[in-house]
This record gives sequence, structure tokens and C-alpha cells, in this order.
Amino acid sequence: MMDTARDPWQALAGERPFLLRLARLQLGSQADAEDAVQDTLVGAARGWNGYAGRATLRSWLTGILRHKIVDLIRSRRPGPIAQTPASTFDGEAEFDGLFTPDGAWHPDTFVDTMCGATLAAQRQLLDIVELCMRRLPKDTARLFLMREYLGMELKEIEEQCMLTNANLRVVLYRARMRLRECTVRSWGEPE
Amino acid sequence: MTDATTPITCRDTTWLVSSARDQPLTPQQARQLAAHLAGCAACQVASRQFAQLFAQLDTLLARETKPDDAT
Repeated sequence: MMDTARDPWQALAGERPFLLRLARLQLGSQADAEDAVQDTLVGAARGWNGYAGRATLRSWLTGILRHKIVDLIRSRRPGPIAQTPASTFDGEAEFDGLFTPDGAWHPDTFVDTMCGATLAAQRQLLDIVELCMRRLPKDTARLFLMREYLGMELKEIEEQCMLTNANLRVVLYRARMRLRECTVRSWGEPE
Repeated sequence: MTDATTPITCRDTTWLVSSARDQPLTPQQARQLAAHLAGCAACQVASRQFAQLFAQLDTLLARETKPDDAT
């Protein structure tokens, strides 16, 4: 990778904003996010010679950050997620507009765009996903990332966040439905 | 009494596609999903969109690299 040819610190610093956004989405606290990212970058600088461009720099760092965040979350005492807006758990009513009363995709609202046709660059596609993820409600994003980023099993998330299995599954469903809606709409936009 | 492939709706299909990301579907769910997809063009599109989204999430969140690659 070209990254290795650059000054390591400069290359690492370039990924800091992304890592910080990810950590903040996941941890809620700005201070904890700064700490986790700082640890990640220091660790990466120390292990720079072992990196050797195996993965993209960003995915290597994202993997390291994952460990820091998992450790932090597991060290926290279980507790209900900070702010639970009533709407977080009110089921799937928000998607009623996407379906007909008998549960078929509604032809007026169904977006059939596939990605790849208009947006070729992988980085651009990932930027869209990240942007859509940042639009999720805070608690939804946290729970979604515990599953999708940290790879925690449903059971552990339920225990850590004092949620029922049914509630957690609805939150994850809603997050994925929203992300699909958000990304397919962006795929349809001209470059 | 219970038909192995009781028909499901498109809306049910989205729920199964999401669930499958967290835990394996039961054989009955897998059959229902396959049977619905076979006859529903919109759900074929939607499930490909989900697959593309999930693949991009894996890349963005570095899920395709082995966790042990990181120090």
C-alpha cells in the first residue's frame, strides 16, 4: 500500500477523524472515544513495522480500535442504554409506508436502485454507508455497532444493555431497514 | 397441519434477511424465504441491496479481516 511509504504519523493522523466518529457513535462519551482512538494510534505506531500494508490502513486501525472499544464496554457495568427515547422500541410502524397493508413492497415507495451503476468508487460507497449510519438515532447506532462492528452476540448485548431479545432484534431490524433506505437512495443519485 | 412453506409477505422477508445476519434461520424460515424470493421480483432486488449493504458494512467496519490481524 502507498500508505507505508508515507510518514507513519502523518498516515495515522489522516485516519483519526474516521476512527473518532466511529468510537463516538459506539461509546457515546467524547472523552472515552478520544482515549480509545489515542490508544489505537499509539499502538499502531508501535506496531507499524508489523503492519506492512497487509490490509488498508483504515481497516487495520478499525480492527485495533474494535479491541479497545470491546474492552472498554466489557469493563463497564451493565446498565440500560443512556437515553432511551420512547420511539426506540415502538416496533416497526415507521416502515408502514414502505409496504402495502398486506405486506408487499409498496410500488410507490420501493427504490430498486442497485449500487455500482453510478457510483464506481469503493471509497465513495463506504462514505455513503458511514453517512447513513451517522443519521441513526444515537442508541440505535450504539446497539447496531455492538452487533455489526464489535461482533458481540445478541445475548451479551441484551445483558450489557438490559434489553429483551425482542427489543434488541427490533432495534437491529430498524437500523438495517433505515440503512437500506438511506443507501439505496444515494445509489440512485448521479455522481 | 403446519405446511412446511406457509407463504410469507415481503415485509416478513425483510425481517428474515435482517435476522439471518445475527443468527442462522431455522430450516422452516429458510424454506419460507427461498420460496418467497423465487416468486417475488421486488424481494430479489431488495435482498441483493441488503447483501450489497452488508458487504459494504463488513468492509467499512473491517469485519472481513480476521480480528487477530490487529495487535
